[in-house]
This record gives sequence, structure tokens and C-alpha cells, in this order.
Amino acid sequence: MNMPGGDDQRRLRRMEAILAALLRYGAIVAGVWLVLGLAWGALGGGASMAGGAEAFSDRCLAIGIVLLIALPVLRVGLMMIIFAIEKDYRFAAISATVLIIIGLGFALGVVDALR
Amino acid sequence: MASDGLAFSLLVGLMSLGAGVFGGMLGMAGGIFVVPALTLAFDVPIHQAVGASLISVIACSCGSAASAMESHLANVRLAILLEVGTTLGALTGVALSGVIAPSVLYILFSAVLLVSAYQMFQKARGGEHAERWEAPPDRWAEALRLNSSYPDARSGREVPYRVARVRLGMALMYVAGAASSLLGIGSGVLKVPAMDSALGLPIKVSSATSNFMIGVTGAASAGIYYVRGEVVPEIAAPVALGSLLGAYLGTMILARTSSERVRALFITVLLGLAVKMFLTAIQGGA
Repeated sequence: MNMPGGDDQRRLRRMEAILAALLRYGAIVAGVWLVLGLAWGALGGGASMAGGAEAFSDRCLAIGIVLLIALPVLRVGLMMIIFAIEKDYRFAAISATVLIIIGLGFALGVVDALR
Repeated sequence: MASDGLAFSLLVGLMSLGAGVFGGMLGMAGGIFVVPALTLAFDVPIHQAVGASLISVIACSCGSAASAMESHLANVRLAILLEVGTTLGALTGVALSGVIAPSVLYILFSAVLLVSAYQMFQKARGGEHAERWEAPPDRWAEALRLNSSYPDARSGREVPYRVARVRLGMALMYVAGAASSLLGIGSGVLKVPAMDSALGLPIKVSSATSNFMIGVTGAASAGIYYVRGEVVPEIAAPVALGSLLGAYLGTMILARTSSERVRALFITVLLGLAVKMFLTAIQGGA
């Protein structure tokens, strides 16, 4: 049975630290955009400002949501890059496969939506 | 109830807070409570409910995935490999969501709620997980260096483990991914038992690896729902924020309550929701 050796473990630890940071800070940033969007929508929903305020709050919400969707994808992308740098080409390829599947899904969704 | 207005967002946010607290106390994302609440109480069409729930699943998963990394319990190589399975499943699920009738989705959801209640019941009854069997060597696991170790908190040592039946695991992950994107849940309820029994992982590793993977499955499906316009920001945003806050509070509350009482409460809630979803499907209210 093979347990990860010292080198292998160090590499894993480094990857874990980077990914954890990406996810934590990314989620916070996305959250801020969502709060901004909701707050603006709540406060700016007055008569004359209506048009502009709504568009801005919608945009903030959209940014927050898109960011949340993008975060795990970025996480996979980062894994692919780190694997490649560490010359673990097999896992870089596996990560790339996941990205391709996700991309394919988005593309099919867009095609479907445009129909 | 029309999806506009501050009152709506506030109520949805509060509901998600509750769902998040429940989820946090159970160690799962609150999706399993959010979708029934949105469809039954707020009259949100199920595809929009699933879309909103997926966004909140991703949001909550960021925190738990980060913890899974920091505790060094998740097996990232295994995770990325299994994610090939879950993302393919997610795509299948989204494709199916276009053709499956909403009432069938309600019934599927009902089934998942029952499975969750059953698992919780088993945990409450059986106490600690039954003795771990020693996983036999698996060709893929050896070739891809999936076998690993995890730090045991008590002894402070690294405990090695093997990964078994990788291909079976991939197949199960495919199903979990499809369920996730069809129903808007994190599917930890399906993934953890799969990793536990099929792959023979130590329970802490199963949970951590599952938590790590949930975000990607969610993103794969949520992206497509978003592109199809089934993610309504006014619903998704309060759900995401409420769930995040709730999950945080939930884990804090968990530290101070008795597990048995909590479990009994949740089993009741899950069963109640299961029945309600089922009845709604049958009575054509979907």
C-alpha cells in the first residue's frame, strides 16, 4: 500500500492551502456583491430613481451570482495548473477533462437558450 | 406570490436562514430544505427553486470545502477523478430537467428526503459507523496514486487508507451528480454513503471529500440553469445569503445541543416534507 511520501505530501499541502484561500475569499467577495445588490434594490427602489437603481442592483446581483458559479470552476482550473507545474500530467489532464465537460454544458445551455 | 418586492426577499432570506441552520446542524447544505420551502410555501416554479438552491449550495460549499482542505481530510486526487463522473451526471440531470414533468421531480425529491431521514435514523440508532473493512487494492487507485492517509486528531498520526472499487464509485457519482442538478441539492446524502460503502473510505475522509466536490457539481448545473434564465436573482441572492449565514449559525448551535434531540427533530421535518412533496405531486399542485 502506498502512502504519500514526504515530497508528495508537501505538494498536496500546498495545493490545499491555495485552494482553500481561493474558495474562502472568493465566497466573501461574491457575498459582498450580493449584499450590495439587495441593499441597492431595497433602498433605491424609489419613484424617480427607479430605472437606474434597479439596473444597478440587478447588475450587482448578477456579478455575485456569476462569481459564485465561477468559483468552483476556477478551483478546478487552478488544480489543473498546479498539477501541470508539478509535472503530474495525468491529473492535469483529468482536471482539464472536468473543465471541458463543464464548458460543454455551458455551451449546450447557451445553444438551447438561443433557440 | 410574485417574485418581487422587499418583503418577498426578506421572507425568502429568513426561510433560507432557517434551512441553513438546519443544514449546518446536520453537516449538509440546506438545499434539501430550501427547494421544498420555495415550491410549497412561496409558489416558486420548481426549476427556479432548483436554480436558486444550486447557487446557495455553491455558496455554502465554499466554506465547507475550504475546511475540508485545511483539515487535510479530503482526498483531492480522488475528488477530481470523481468529478468527471459528477459533472457528466450534472449535465445529464440538466438535460433531463427539461423533459421530466415537475410532478415527477417532486416525487424524486420526496424519495431523497425519505433516504435522508432513513440515513439519519440509522446514525441515531447505530451510533458509530460499523467496523471498517480493509479495502482490497484497486488497479486504478494504485495507478493514479489515490491511496492516501489522513491526520487522526486524537493520535496526531497519519492514518493510511486505501481506495477501493474506483469505477463503481464513478458510476455512483454520476447518479449523485444527476440527482444534484435535477433537485438542487448538494447530494452529500448520496455521495457520502457511496464513498463510505463502495470506496471504503474512512467516514471523515468521505465527508470531507464530498464537501470538497459539492461545489463543482453545483457549478456545472447552476451555470446551465443560469444561461437558460432559470436563476432568478431576486430569489437566488437572498437564498444564498440566508443559507450562508444560517450554515454558520447552525454549526455554532450544533456545538451546544444534544444530538439525539436534534436528530429526532430533523427526521420528523424530513418525513413531513417528504409527505407534503409527494401529496403535492399526486394532487397535481406541482
